[in-house]
Amino acid sequence: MKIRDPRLVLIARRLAVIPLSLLLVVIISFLLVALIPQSTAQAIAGQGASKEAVIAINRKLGLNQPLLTQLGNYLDRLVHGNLGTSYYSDKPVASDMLSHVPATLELILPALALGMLIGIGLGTLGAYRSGKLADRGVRMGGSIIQATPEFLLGLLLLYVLFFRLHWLPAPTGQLGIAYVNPPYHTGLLVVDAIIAGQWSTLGDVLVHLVLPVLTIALPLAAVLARITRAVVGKALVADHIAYGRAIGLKERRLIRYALIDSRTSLMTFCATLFAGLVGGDVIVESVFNWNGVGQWAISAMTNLDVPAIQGFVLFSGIVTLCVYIALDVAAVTLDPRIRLGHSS
Amino acid sequence: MAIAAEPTIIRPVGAQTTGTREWTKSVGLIAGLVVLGGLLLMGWFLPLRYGPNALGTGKVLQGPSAQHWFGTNQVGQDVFARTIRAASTDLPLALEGTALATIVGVVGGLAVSTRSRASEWVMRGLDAFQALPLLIVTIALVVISNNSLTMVAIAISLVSGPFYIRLVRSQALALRESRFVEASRAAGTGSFRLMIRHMIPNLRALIFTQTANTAAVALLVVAALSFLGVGTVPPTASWGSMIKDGSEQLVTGQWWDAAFPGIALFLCIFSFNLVADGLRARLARSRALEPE
Repeated sequence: MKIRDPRLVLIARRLAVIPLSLLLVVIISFLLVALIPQSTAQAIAGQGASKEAVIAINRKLGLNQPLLTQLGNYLDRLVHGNLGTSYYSDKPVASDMLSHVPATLELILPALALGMLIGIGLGTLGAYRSGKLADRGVRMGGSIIQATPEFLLGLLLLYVLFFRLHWLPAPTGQLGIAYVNPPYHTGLLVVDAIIAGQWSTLGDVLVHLVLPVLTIALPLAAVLARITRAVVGKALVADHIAYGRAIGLKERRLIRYALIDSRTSLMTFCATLFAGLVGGDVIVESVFNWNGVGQWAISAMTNLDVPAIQGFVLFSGIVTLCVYIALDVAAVTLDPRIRLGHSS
Repeated sequence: MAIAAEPTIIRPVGAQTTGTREWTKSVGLIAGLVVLGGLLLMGWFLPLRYGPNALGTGKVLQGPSAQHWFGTNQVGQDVFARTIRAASTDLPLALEGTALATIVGVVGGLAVSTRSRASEWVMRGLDAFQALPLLIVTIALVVISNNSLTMVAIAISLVSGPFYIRLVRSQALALRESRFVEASRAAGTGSFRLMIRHMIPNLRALIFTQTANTAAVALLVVAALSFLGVGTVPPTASWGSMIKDGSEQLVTGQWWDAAFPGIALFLCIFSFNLVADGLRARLARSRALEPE
C-alpha cells in the first residue's frame, strides 16, 4: 500500500484543480462580456436604429434575461461543445476561430524555437563569461530590447529590412499578393506548400515569416537570456561543478551539467512564455497583417462580437491551462528533485 | 519564545555621507528619474510653436526641418508638438495605473500572506485568472467602457496586479515567520498595526523596485492599447497612436512620424527599468546593513 509513486500523486493533485480552474475561466470570460451595457444591441443594430430593432436584437440574443439565466444558458451550450454563433458573420465561433489557429501556430512555434536558441545560448555565454565583455554586451543588448515595445521593434525591422535594404517582402501577411494559398491539408502553409510541391510558394511563405518571427523571437530571447544568465550562473558555482573542474573534466562538459541542473527552471519559463503566445500575438499580427487568432480576436473586439470574444478568452485560457499541466508532467518526469519531494 | 528587539537599522559611522563611489552606482537611477521628470515637465509646461492638435501647420509629411523639428504627419500636424504633449497624457496615465496596481499588489499580497486554506483558494483563482489572455481582456474592458481612461488604469492593475500579489505574498510569508514579527505578535500587536509597523517597512525594497518595474509595464500597456486604437485615441496625442499612424507611412519611407514618438516611448520604458535596477541596487545595500 506504501508504493505510492509521488510523481502520480503530484500529477493527480494538479489534475484535480483543472475543473475548478476551467470553471473560473468560463465564469470570468462570461462576466467580462456581461459587463457590456445595453449598448451591445445598439452597436449591432447600428447608430440610429429604431428602438424596436434594438429590443428585437436583445430578445434574439437573450440579453434581456437575468444574468444568472444567461450564465446558465452559456454553460449549457458550452457543455454541448457549442461556443455560439458570431453576431457578425453568423458563423459558428468555434470553427471560425480554429480556422485561424494554424496561421498563429506557424508564427509562434518558429519564434519560440529561435527565441530559446538565442536566449539560452547567449544567457549561458553570459553566465560562463560572468563579468566579462560578452556578459556585459549580452546584458546591455537584452535591456535595450526589453525596453522596446514589440510594435516598435517590428516597425524598426520592417523599415530597415524591407524599406531600406529590400531584403524582405512587404507586410502583406503570410503570402505576397501574387501568390495563392496552396491546397488545404493542415492549414499550415509551409506544410501545405510542401505537400503540393509548390516550391516557389514555399519560398514566399518562408520569407514572409522572417520579420514577424524575428519580432517575436528577439524579446523572448532577451527575457530568456536574462533568466538563463541567473539560473545557469547559479548552477555554475555549485560544488559539483567545482569538483568536476578539480578532477579535470572538460569545460564543455561542465556547462552541460550546469544546463541539466537548470533545465527544469528554464523549461518553466519557456512554457510560461509559450502560454503567453498561444492566444496569438495580437500586436505582431496586427503590425504584419497576419491573419491569425490574434487579429481575429481584435476584430471581434472592435465589433463587440460577444460570443467571439468569449470563445477566444475561453480558448486561450484552456490552452494555457493545458500548457501548464504538460509542464508539470514534464517537470516531474525530468527532475528527480521534484519527484523525490526535495523541491522547495 | 525569546522576545527580540524592534528591528533597528544599524548604520556604520559615516554611512550617511555619500561618497563618490556611491554616486556612480546611482547614475542609472538618477539618469532615469531625470529623463522621466524632464519629459513629464516638458509635456506639461514647454511652450510649443504649434498646438499639438493644430491641423495644417505646414505641408503634410514633411521631413524634419528648422520649422518642424520632428517633421509633420499626414494631416500636417507638428510631430514635435505632439510627441512632447503626449508625455503629459501617457505618463500620468501609466503612473495612475501603477499606483492602482501597487495598491492591489501590496494590499492583496498582504491579505493572502497566510497559509490558510482561504489564501490557497485565492491563489488558485489567480492561477486561473492569469491563464486568461490578459491583453485581450484589457482591450475588451476598455472598448466596452467606451475608451474610458479610468478603465485603462484599472486594466493596468489587472495585467500587473496578480504578479505583484504573488511577489508580495512570497516575501511576506517569509517575513511573517521572522523573529521580530513573532515577538511583536506575542506582545499583542494587532494585525493592522503589524502591517504598518513591520510588514510594509520591511517589504519596501520589494515594493519600490516592483513599482518601478510595474510602471514600465504600465506604459507599455498604455502604448500598446493606443497603438491598437483603444484607450487614448486621436485627436489626443499619444505615443502609441502616433506610432500607429506613422507606421502607415513607414513603408513608403516617411520614418519621422513613427520614429520620434517611438524614441520617446523607448526612453521612458528604459528609464523606468533603470530606476528599478538602481533602486534594487541601493536598497539591497541598505538592507545589508540591517541586522538579520
